[in-house]
This record gives sequence, C-alpha cells and structure tokens, in this order.
Amino acid sequence: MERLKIIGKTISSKNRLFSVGEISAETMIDPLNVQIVLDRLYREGLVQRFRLVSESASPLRGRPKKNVAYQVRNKKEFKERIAPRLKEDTAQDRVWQVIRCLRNFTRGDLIRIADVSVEIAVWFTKMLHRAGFVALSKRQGQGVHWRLIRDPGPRRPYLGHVIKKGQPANLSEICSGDLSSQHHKIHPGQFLKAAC
Amino acid sequence: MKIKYVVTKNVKKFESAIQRINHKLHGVERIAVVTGEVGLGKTIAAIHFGACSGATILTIWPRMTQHWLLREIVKELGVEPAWRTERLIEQVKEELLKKPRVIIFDEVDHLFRDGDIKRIDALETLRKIHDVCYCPLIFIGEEWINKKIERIPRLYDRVVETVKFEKLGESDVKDMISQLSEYRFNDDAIEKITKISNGRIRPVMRLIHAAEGVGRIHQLKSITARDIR
Repeated sequence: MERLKIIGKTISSKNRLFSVGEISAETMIDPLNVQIVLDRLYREGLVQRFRLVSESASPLRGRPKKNVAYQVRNKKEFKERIAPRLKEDTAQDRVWQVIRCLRNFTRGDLIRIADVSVEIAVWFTKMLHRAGFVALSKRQGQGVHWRLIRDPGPRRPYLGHVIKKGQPANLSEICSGDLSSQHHKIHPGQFLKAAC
Repeated sequence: MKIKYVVTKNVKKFESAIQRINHKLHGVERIAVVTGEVGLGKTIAAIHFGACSGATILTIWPRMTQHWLLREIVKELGVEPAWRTERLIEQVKEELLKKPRVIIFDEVDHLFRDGDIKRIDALETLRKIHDVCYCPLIFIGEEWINKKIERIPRLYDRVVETVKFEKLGESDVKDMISQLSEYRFNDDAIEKITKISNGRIRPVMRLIHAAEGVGRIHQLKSITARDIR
C-alpha cells in the first residue's frame, strides 16, 4: 500500500510520458516493484501504456528490448484512487453532513443535530479550521459562529496531514476532487518580490 | 440548558413515514410529502435524519432548472457531474442502482411556478428517477405544496405518505422542557411559553434559555409564569 502511495504521488505530478526507470530513480524503489505497481494501474485502466519504437538499429542477437512508456489516463480518477480511503458512517461523517447542510453553524448545532459528543465536535471543527475549510466569525468567546468556506463534496475531507504536521495542508492533497485550489498556488517569485 | 436533539411528535411522524416508504417492494411507490409552516423544524428534522441514516439532502434553489437540479443530485451522490443532461441521468441511475439511498428535497416550493415548463420538467425528471431507480424521495415544502402537487397527476399518484408538521402543543412543550432544562417549570409557565411561542421551536428554546437565566440569578427552585418574559 505504501509502495502504491509513493509511486502514485510521483506519477500524479507528471504531465508527460514516463518510464519505469524514471520512476524508479525518483522514488528509489527497485524497477521490478515499480513495474508491478504500474501493471496493476494499467489493468485498472488508470494509466495508458505505449510501446516506443527505437530508431536505432536493433541488436543482432537476442530478444529485442521493449521500450515501454506510461501516461496517466485521467488525473482526477487517478488522484481518487491514490487518496486515502476513509472509514464510512463515522461520527465525523455525520458532523460533515450537518456542516454542509447548515453552512453557518455553532458547535452546539453540531452536537445537537449530528448526535455527537462535545469532544468530537470541538476536535473536528478545529481541524477543519486549520485545513481551511471553515472560518470563524470571531476569534474566541461565547456565540462563535462557524462558516463553511470551502466545500469539497459529500465525502469528508482527509485531515491526516493537518493532524500530523499541525499546519495548513495543501488542499489539493487533502481532497483529491477539489481543483479550485490550483488557482491559489503561490509562485516562488512572489516571495522574491516581497523581499525586494 | 442541555444541548440535545428533542424528538417531538412531528419528528416521530416524519421518521415513521420514511420508514414506511423505505422498502424493497417493486410496484409500490415511495414518494412522501412533508408540509408545514415556517419554523416548525422540518429542515432540522431532515438534516438529523440525513446525518444519522446517510440519506442525501438537497436544497432546491429558486429558478432551478432540470439540468441544474440533475447536476446538484450527481454532485451530492459524490460523482463529478457530466456536461450533457443525458449523461447526467445515466450517472444518477448508475449511482442510485449501485447504492440505493433516500433523497430528501428541501424547499420544493421553488420547483412549482405556474406556466414555467422548465420547473415541471425538473419534477417529471424526479418522478422518472423514482420510477427507474426505486429510491424513496421526500419533498419538503410549505403548507400549500400538497395542493400544488395535485396539479401534476402523474406525480400525485405516486405520493403515498403526507406528513404535516403541526404547531407544538402544551404536551410537546412540556416534553421539550423536561428534556432540555435543568429547572422545574410550573404548569402556568409551560402554558405561557406555549402561548407566547405560538407553537414554534425557536421561540420555545429562547424562552427556556431566558427563564433559566432568571432562575440562576434569583436562585429559584422552580420557574413560574412570572419568570417568563
């Protein structure tokens, strides 16, 4: 599973054709394992396979070497396949559904309507806030209202990155289906400009 | 005041109606209509049911067309919506046949507008989805939605359950207070709350909260009609 995740992450960043050797060199995984993963993805219809015909003269003896290149067929489906599979029908799922329906809410609403404990409501809203899905009406105190500002869909967003690192994660990594975050990418040049 | 979801008579009626239409018999229709005045807890009951049972909830927007509605349904089913209406219908069918679920449409009143063919198209599409996918549909709207559905015979024929959310009675308010409040409320206080709130949930909650505040300040053991403001 870990192998698929590492190779999948490398592949999803590629826009052009890639070979087994290329992926192997980048991920430091031996070519045989890369070949196994790519074959599996090919069977699932997520990557395309091309046979490259080399123009150089074929060797005089032995079986001619196959030059195979791969390409991702559909980036969105591919990202969904690689994205971590979350448990279904959990308390967090209930809270997420209530948040999507209400849009503006308090933690009390979540506890009451989603039938969850205070701890789950507090933890989940905090993590969603860190990941940039919800915003607060005011910083602290009574009567704080929360607002859903980014809706990636009915599937609860993966918040593992936020929990581990404790900092806002890249949204395109959190929710595979959300492409809107691509517009907010920061160009390295922006920092240079600011520094000048 | 305790943070708790109170199951009133209306909610019980709503949930039992959904249970009755959520069956696997072919040939028996599965459309329910929920009506009632504003502020009686229809939407909250639907959200609570949706969160606890995994039903899909969709809010209808004013001027929603058939294509827009189909796109929203597909999005709610967790699929990237296609561009063409034909493909959208296929996507809905695929998803609902793969994983059947209850679909709740809130504020369906917006789909009824006299002389607007696009809205009737949307309703007819929903009827067709119900016929093909055998999934229970629940339409939530205001009081007169039932009369409006009657004008579309093919749709009205498939409505098997009608739930009317009624104003909270004194027994409902008493039940709510006993579940939500830590104070004991006298009968005259309950009567006054019912009268002032006019049987609506939000004012009842506000009055309970205010009365508890008075009770805390004056260190009361029980709350009377005088303490309700």
